Amino acid sequence: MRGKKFFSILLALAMMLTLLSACGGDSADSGSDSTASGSGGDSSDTVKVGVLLPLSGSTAYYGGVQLDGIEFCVNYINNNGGLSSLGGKQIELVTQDSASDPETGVSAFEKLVEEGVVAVIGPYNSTVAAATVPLAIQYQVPYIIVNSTAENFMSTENKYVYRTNTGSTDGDNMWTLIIQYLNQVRSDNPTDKIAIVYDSGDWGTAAVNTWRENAAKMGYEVVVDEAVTESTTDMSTLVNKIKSADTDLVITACFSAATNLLVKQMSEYGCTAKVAGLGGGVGDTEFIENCGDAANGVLYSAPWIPSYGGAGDEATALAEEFNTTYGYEMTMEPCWGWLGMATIINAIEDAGAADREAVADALYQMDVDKSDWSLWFSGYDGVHFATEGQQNSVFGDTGVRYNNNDKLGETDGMVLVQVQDGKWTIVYPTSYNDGADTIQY
Amino acid sequence: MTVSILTQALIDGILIGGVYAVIGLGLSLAYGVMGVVNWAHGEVLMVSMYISYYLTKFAGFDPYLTALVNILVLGVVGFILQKYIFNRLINRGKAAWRDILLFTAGMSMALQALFNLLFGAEVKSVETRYSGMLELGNMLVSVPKLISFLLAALCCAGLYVFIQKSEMGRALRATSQDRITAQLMSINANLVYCVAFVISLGIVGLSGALLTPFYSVNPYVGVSFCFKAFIIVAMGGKGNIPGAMLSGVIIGVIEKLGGAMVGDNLAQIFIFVLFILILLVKPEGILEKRVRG
Repeated sequence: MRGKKFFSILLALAMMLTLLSACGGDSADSGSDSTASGSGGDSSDTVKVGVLLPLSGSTAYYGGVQLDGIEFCVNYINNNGGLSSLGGKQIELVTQDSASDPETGVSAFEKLVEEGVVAVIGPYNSTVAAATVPLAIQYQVPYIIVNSTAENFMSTENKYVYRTNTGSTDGDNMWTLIIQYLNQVRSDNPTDKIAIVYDSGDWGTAAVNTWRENAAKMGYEVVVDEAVTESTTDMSTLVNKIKSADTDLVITACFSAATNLLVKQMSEYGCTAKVAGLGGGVGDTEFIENCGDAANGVLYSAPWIPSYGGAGDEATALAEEFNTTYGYEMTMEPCWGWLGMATIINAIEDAGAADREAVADALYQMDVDKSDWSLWFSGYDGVHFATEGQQNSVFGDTGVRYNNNDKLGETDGMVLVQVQDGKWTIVYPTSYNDGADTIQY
Repeated sequence: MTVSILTQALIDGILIGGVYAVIGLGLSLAYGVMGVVNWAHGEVLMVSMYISYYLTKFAGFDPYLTALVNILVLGVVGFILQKYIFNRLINRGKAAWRDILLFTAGMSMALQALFNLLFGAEVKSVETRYSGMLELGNMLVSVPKLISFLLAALCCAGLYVFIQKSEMGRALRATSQDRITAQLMSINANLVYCVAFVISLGIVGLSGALLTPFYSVNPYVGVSFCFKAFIIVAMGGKGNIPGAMLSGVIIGVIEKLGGAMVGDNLAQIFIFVLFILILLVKPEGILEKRVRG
């Protein structure tokens, strides 16, 4: 009797916890006196932009560093005279925590709308993006998607939701080039056996989909194909499968804990296949430190960021400033945060008003090239959104996607980097190394 | 699917199962003696993993030696919690188990948030001198996991002897069976509860050190271990040490063999299916005799 009662209380508690986490997420930054809804009212001294990011929960780390990049961008503008087309008005960020959870994300997004923000940037997690994109369209709020590379929420025709960074299907070109390059470097041992290890969430699942579809085209066989999660506590069995299948390359799309575990256990079990990360865990500032020697040789098809080399003067100086301000090197998340935030700022400047419709129209018309300040921390050719019927749009080339950035360039703004002597080094395109093959493969 | 992958999975399952067992044992002991559940069990484990991580990484401690510090720190914390909070709740009235459940649930969230604030949400792990493999034929046995398993087994055995043979162990067993009668036999139940909870948290401290050489820590790491610990309590029978050890190993082996056959992620389903089956068929635990009446 008591046991039954105990378990029913336990269940009730579990449900309560879920509810609590859904209600939580009030932000420290939202201490604003104006609660009027509408479109960012012109009467105040600031223009409010909403930020929706995971600041707690399993992806809190990524949300935190992305927020740093967004703040850094806003501070840059605010300290350099504010929004010039609005008489020097300052930008005020209103931050909400999605708790890495779609349900919390939905209520957090609605709070931002009520706060009267002129646009929203976020939400890092693809699952949260899928839940909040319909709200942006419903409430007619410009929404710049950062990270969230899944494609499922980019298929609704609208003029409010835009994504500045690559989507999960954009890495294809780059990887076709990389596989060709690997086969050229190791013509004695072509990369024909591939293992796929991915996070079971939206991003991981979407990121590896094309790896299965393209197997025949790119001339490899998928010998191991497994989902893991951040709470996977041991991967020895998986590592042994990879090892006994004589795998050449392990493609991973996992977050930190899983990536660390995989890399460390592969080294432990003497598995010599090379690991290539598509993002997530390999992109962490502490990845190399966490994995130590086991990290050497790990490949990462990374969006180009200034720390890999080849940045302009302003970007180099700012990256240095970021480093001193926040205490770590600017990784992909803050860089993508900058691009998204700068795009919103550009749109507000173009619109000349803190008005949701005008900003949405400006985003629809957005067309900047590589030299624009918004692209200082990204490797893309520019920002221009592919929307059906729009002038210069390449819409249709990559399936039905609305408002994705179609000025990504031939390598989708990416480079292949490898951990060599404990540091990330660009190994492809070889033009970064004057054409020399520096890859250890 | 070759035999060698399955054998290797079996070895890995037994080794990691030993560590799961110790984590579950801590929970089981407190539940067995006091009938209360520490919902923050996983977060206490997280705290001990952070202590081990920082001591190993920055103070040059041997990861296994950090267990002593963990046991000391968490033992003191356990004593304070039990003496000044839980015992008061228990002595106050009937629904103490509910109050403690709610208290520790709050504690679990608070600890996650606090550690996120203090140390950041990023995943941290440390390289230790314990690495490498023993080769048995074509099978590989991970040295750190083997050491962790042996220490775990030693801990279980030591605790078993303590509970079966020592005077305090008898008091623990007596109090777990009937607190009022035990008190009538001049057993200080409050003290016994303190001892039980100190041991419970001390074991978690040990587990944190056992995990450090091969696992990484972040503020949310406790959750995945906590669920396994709950299953171990239900499977092994509350307070049953051999039961906890056996359940831990069973969970480890199912996880690894399942992982070899259908993948690690799907293998988790098998563990929960087994859990439900045991709740239905043998709710008192796999090694417990059914008591009628």
